[in-house]
Amino acid sequence: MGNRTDEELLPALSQGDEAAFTVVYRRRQGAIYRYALQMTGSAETAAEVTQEVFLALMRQGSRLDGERGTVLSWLYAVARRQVLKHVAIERRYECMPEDDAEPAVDPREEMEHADLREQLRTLIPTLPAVFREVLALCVVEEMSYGEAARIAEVPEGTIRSRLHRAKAMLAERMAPVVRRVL
Amino acid sequence: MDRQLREWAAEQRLESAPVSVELVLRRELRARRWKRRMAWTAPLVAAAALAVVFWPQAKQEPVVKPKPEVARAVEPPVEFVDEVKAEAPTIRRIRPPRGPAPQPFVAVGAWQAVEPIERANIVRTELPRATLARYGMPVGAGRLAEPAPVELLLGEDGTVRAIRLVSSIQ
Repeated sequence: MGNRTDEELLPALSQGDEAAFTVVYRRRQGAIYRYALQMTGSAETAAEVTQEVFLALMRQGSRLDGERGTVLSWLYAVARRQVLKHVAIERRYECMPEDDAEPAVDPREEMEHADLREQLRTLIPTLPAVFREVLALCVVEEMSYGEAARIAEVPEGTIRSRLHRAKAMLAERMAPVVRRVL
Repeated sequence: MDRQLREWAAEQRLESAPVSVELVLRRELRARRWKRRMAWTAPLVAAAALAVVFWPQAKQEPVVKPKPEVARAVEPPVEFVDEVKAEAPTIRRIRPPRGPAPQPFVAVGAWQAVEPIERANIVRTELPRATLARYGMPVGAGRLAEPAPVELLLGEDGTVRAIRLVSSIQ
């Protein structure tokens, strides 16, 4: 069962086959969890989102059409809706400017003595959600621009430009620390 | 920057949902499967339970199946004799089915004795032993409700003139 694709496991999934469900869950939970984690910045919320996504798969698995799209992209779509709900609740997604927003807390002061990787880890959660999303999809999950565009529901060009801007923003924010470290 | 991002991404890839999420989901899946199974099993079980409850009553209820004594007796004879061709009054005997030796005929009703009649037919049927006992047939007293094989002698008009037991039923 482990070597069958998600789409091939769909009929068994819709019948409530626990083995099929476990295979799909173990194969995809990491990606969904990481995406939710990047987007919400909270491990607890990410676990909650992951649970909701796979509960939705249980409930609606029988309605999924494997030929119209992959199970993974469907899972991402559900995860994205869940994340937006959480982000909206936390009033984070309301101010998602495409321009360079200043983070609430200036990490530059806090990270004076931290190494570059540690600083990056601290800076990324301070980026606006759209940039965190593109980093989660294109950098962490190594998706193509096309795949990321389908999930983020934006044109491929937007993904490309968001990724470029995310990197530029990080570089800019890291510059003072880089200078200090060097 | 790219190198640091790659390192960060590799670090992130180690992240996964807590095991508790999988446990919760699998428990939910089992619960849903059980509910789904119950959705069609419950009516089946209910039907089976009803059948169990009502079956003994239905069995105990005496099913009265009256043996249509007269109705059976007046059934059309097995073989008809062409009346036009029958010129002389004769008794046509139909060979009885093979089996044990028949008992003598006993007249019934107004026919105190089997009189010479023009035509007669013999029909094999079953009658309750109680009925046979009423006509003085030698039947066992223990199984009066049970039917016994008999032959009926039918007259030309279809009425039963006499009965005899096909075999001894003592």
